[in-house]
Amino acid sequence: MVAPAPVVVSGPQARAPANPATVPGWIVVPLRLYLSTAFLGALTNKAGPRRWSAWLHFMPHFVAQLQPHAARWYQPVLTHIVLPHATVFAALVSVGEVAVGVALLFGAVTRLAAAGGIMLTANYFLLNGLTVADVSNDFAILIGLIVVFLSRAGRTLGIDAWLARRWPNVPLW
Amino acid sequence: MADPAQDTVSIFDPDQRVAGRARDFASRNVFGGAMGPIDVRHDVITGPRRPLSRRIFVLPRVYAGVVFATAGLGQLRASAVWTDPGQSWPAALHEQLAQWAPHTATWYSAILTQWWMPHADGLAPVVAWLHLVIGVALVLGVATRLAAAVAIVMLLNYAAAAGHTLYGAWDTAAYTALALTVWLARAGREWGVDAVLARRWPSAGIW
Repeated sequence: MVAPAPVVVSGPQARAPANPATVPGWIVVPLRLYLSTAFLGALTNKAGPRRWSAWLHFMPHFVAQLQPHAARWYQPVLTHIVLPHATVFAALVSVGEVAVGVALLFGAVTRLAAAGGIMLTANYFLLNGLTVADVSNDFAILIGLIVVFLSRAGRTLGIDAWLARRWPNVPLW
Repeated sequence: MADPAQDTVSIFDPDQRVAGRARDFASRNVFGGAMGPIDVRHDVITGPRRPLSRRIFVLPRVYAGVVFATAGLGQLRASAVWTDPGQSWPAALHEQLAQWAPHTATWYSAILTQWWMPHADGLAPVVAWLHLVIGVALVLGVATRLAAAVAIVMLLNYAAAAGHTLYGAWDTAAYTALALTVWLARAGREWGVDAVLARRWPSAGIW
């Protein structure tokens, strides 16, 4: 079988366009690494046996305190689902934050991690009852995670580059 | 008229073999091609230079713009961030700076107490207008890099004044990360006025 002859591009076509519609993938790496610190940093009040038990005790009180300010349609979710199972949700939140933080740090299954992070931060945002135009670290982090999800940020300087080479069609990375 | 997709991909893939597959993929992916030529094989082959559609970065640009503009408008009407009901914006700024003072980064403490706090009355309208102008510029995509750079400088000042770190879930850190991404992506060149400006003055660093 004869390999196709390479096409030599020269002249005006070889020059980069003035306003390309794409940007290099590395530019989302700082955002991905920052977001990993945001999730791993949240562990400062949860890691360790004493802090863990304090967190399990604190979380239901914290949610109950914020419940009156939460988005109106979200309040029944807190009343009927989260608060009756507060210990389970407290554990899920901590484990979720670690998993999302580590996955974003190494760029492993980044889209799955970003989706999990979006779910966590969306709940935090609804709990605070703010609007989209308000200053909110939760919504800013949520927007960052959407960018990471859409840009498949783990495929640049992350483990997902290898995963994508082996299993290119899996949407988790 | 030149095909923008072909122009774009040719930077990374002069022989166009991968680009052809990228265009095929883009034409049938879930975004209907709207997210540009994102192809899994292309991703891996080009490594850190893996091309991403600039359209992705319109979202953080517009979001950050809305937040900045809303904050600025509210501050000019003395009804938003850092202001209590009935409190003027300069008084609210002064109170906020005083609240930050005990937590301020050591190296920034003198700047806060000897520069910002004594001049809070004069600074208040400047800060409010800067918020508004940065917000409008980001929403419209006008001089986006300049707007994002000024936003980063302001946010770094807030972070130092409040004693926040640039990692962790601080609001200052989160908005700084978004503004940096917008700056890196030159996000105003897609669905923004900067697209027109960049055609006329392609080498300018402010869009």
